[in-house]
Amino acid sequence: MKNAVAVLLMIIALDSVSFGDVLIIANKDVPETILSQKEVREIFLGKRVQWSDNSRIRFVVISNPELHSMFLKKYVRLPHVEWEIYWKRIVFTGRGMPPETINSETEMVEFISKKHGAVGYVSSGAKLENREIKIIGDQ
Amino acid sequence: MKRVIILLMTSVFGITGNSAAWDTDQINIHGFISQGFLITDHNDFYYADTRDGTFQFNEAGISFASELTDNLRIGVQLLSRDLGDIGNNEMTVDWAFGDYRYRNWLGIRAGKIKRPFGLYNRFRDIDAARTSIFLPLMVYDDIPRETYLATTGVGIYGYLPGRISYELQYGTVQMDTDGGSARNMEALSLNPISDIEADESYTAYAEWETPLEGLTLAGTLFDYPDTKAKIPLGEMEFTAKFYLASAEYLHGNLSLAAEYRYVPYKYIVNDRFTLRDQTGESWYASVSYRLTDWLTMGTYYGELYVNKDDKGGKGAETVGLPRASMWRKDLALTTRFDISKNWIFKLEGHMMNGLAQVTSPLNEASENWFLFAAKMTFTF
Repeated sequence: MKNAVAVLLMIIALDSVSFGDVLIIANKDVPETILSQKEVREIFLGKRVQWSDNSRIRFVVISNPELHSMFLKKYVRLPHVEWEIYWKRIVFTGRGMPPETINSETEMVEFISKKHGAVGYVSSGAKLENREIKIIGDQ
Repeated sequence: MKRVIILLMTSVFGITGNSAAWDTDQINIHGFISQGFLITDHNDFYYADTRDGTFQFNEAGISFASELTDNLRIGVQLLSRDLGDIGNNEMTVDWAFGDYRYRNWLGIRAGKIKRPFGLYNRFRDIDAARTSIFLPLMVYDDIPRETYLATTGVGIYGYLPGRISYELQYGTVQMDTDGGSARNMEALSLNPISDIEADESYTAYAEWETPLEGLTLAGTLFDYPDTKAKIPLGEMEFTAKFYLASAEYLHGNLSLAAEYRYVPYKYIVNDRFTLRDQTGESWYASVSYRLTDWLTMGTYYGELYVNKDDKGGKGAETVGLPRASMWRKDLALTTRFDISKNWIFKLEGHMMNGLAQVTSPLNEASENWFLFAAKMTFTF
């Protein structure tokens, strides 16, 4: 029984660690310094489209399915399939454009550093030496 | 009409037929195509020969959208649909509008805009966007779909503090003599229609994401356009207002929804004689659960009453119709297979009681009947 509890706790701990691995990063010109989980969700569901200075939000996602699913679970609180369905509903009713997909974390950092108003996410292991980006969410 | 559409696309997006001329970074192109099959053990449903089984049940659409500036977007979707005698795969503009987003709390749209009507009306064409083949038909009647689907006019929308989305629309609706709305008017008024005209109308919609994560509440008011039609006795006018209350709860792979529709409506002949003055009522509750990435199962139950003050259908007998023509109860069980990211296959059964929306001669119809539907969809 003790072993079973220990294994369960270990699984929960590992899950918590993996949740903590997703960092929200943005172009340094973005006025916000920190985003809550709900604000990240609003942005990636296309509900909130402007930063507090009324500049355009450009959110991007990553093609890495593991990192993307982890991000969706932690911040958007949707399974990947439901996320796909949500954006089909938006796109096929003309209410928005789907987010651009970036191939790797290196490209994600590069894209966000160059694009005004851009926001995306990387794992905590990603190299973030670029001075043109900042971390605005690390729950 | 098709030439006008092609010309419109060419001028708006610079599409010349030469794929090299497309700037795919600037234009988003998506599409879908569905083919279904319907069969019933008794009764024809939705103007289709369902007793013999029919493949006259399909949809295809393609959308083009582009961002012209940070705040301005334009787009168009072309749609072809067939459901028995309705649609017949004639190409129509499903939506086409310009969208200017001034702030998070205010955007303006002009053109043909999808109507917010309950939780799911805007994307009812999109089979891939839901578990079931048919949205609950007691709230999302598929016969007059062209009228409910969109407003041609203007609208404002936005996202307010407190996680409230809103949308207001004003304009005209699509209403054709051979369309589903005209068919409904004929069935409810018991008069053949030779001409039909509709006024402008408005729609108001608000949606609130409550503090309980996953729970969304919504309300809709659709002021159905005052509609005049020629009948053998002269002119008949139809007025109605649709009120909808909606709730949806999403938690992981579980999805729950319930909606209630309340519709006071009138038929008046030659401005004097009130043919009908009553209130329709309908509701449903649904459950859907995704068992795996490729398998989702769902069920819903709902009831529809043509006149909420005569749920037993006594009034129908006075005009020689069966009582059951005044209601329909539907228990549906559906299965969705996500074969791949682009391909979906669905199977669905409906146990029905009642004859509302049945389109075979009602005096020969069977009160209890079964509808089976299958549908394959490709999206990109």
